Amino acid sequence: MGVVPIIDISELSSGDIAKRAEVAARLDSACAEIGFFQVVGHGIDEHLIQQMYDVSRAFFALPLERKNAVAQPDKDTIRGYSSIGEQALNYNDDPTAPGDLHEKFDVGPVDVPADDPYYSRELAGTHFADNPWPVEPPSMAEVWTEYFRACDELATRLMRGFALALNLPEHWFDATLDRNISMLRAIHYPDQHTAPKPGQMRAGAHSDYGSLTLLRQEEAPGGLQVFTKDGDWVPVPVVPGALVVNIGDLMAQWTNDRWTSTRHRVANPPRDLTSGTDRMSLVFFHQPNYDAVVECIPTCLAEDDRPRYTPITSGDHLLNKFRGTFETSKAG
Amino acid sequence: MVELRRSGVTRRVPADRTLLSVVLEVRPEVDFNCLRGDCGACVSVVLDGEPLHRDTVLSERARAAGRRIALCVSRARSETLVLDL
Repeated sequence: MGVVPIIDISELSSGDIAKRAEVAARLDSACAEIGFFQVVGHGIDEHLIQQMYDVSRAFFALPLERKNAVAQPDKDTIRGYSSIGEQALNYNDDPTAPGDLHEKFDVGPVDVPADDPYYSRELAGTHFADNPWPVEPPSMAEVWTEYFRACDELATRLMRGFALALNLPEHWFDATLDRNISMLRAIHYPDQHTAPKPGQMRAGAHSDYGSLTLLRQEEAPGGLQVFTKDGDWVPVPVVPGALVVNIGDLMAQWTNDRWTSTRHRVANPPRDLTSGTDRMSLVFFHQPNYDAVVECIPTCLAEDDRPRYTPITSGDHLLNKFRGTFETSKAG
Repeated sequence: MVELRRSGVTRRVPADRTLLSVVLEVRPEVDFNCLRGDCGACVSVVLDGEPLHRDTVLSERARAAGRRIALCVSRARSETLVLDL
């Protein structure tokens, strides 16, 4: 088996708790060792995923000025289109560092009640900001909304598996997820006709912010790599029909580092390939309710250890990440 | 001293220079990025010698094993460090 295990999670929906616990045990060992696994039996319709690829490709194929009609409004509001080179996902705080070689489109929660103050800008800030749907392709809003809901449902199922894995009641996370502030992103990595600048990648080394990430990747040169506990960069192979799942920094904090949020990056294709390397990924960043307090889960506190992180709400944790403060406040 | 075994080259690493800058003179294709031990781009395989880790990217396990080094910030405890480069 490779560094990133493949786990069939269909039994998470089994009526037999022993079968659910069996899957949970596999999730636990994957999250402790590498923080990455690939899921099959995840229940998301392959036809829906194909529709996501079709509409998103049609959007990225539009002329730049049409894409910029739905450009991201500001750095705290991760919505809409960002063009190539705008974002640098790395640990470099040098503002002149070259941007990553991808363009992207983001949306946030899709089923936001209109008149509940919990979701208002006054209380929720930008976490439930409107989604700027493009005029074209016309079915973009409908397809993305359906896929967002499917990912949200899968993430909840996985979090229940996580609860079992952490010796918690199965629905322990539910109350922290029912008004989650997740985001869905399509990332397009075009062919590289000119050589990247030194240090410039499709996506620089980073770990994810939130609870978990669901990634659908395509087979093409220049792909995802993870940094193992042994100190090696290892490619994550494309498994047909599977989704890659990884946990983010928030889950590492929640589990007091029992689970690991692993650095990963998207490598450039080999320089002798300037065509046939075009690649698109669909990424769902799951992030709990903005007012959910993330503090050391009781079952994750080893006898000889103490809570390593200051409690923080999910919303503040996310905003701190947007603002580029990579240093998490470690307790005393 | 640093020995790049596959290249068959040994160089002195002066106190005021990084291991990475010396390695790049011999192997300019070696990858690097953040230059502060955070991103993992320049991590290389150690064949012999004892690294003095100053990075934040290697896990406790990799540190204890002593067979990987972040060239941009780390140095050596031993007189010579042999790299698989």
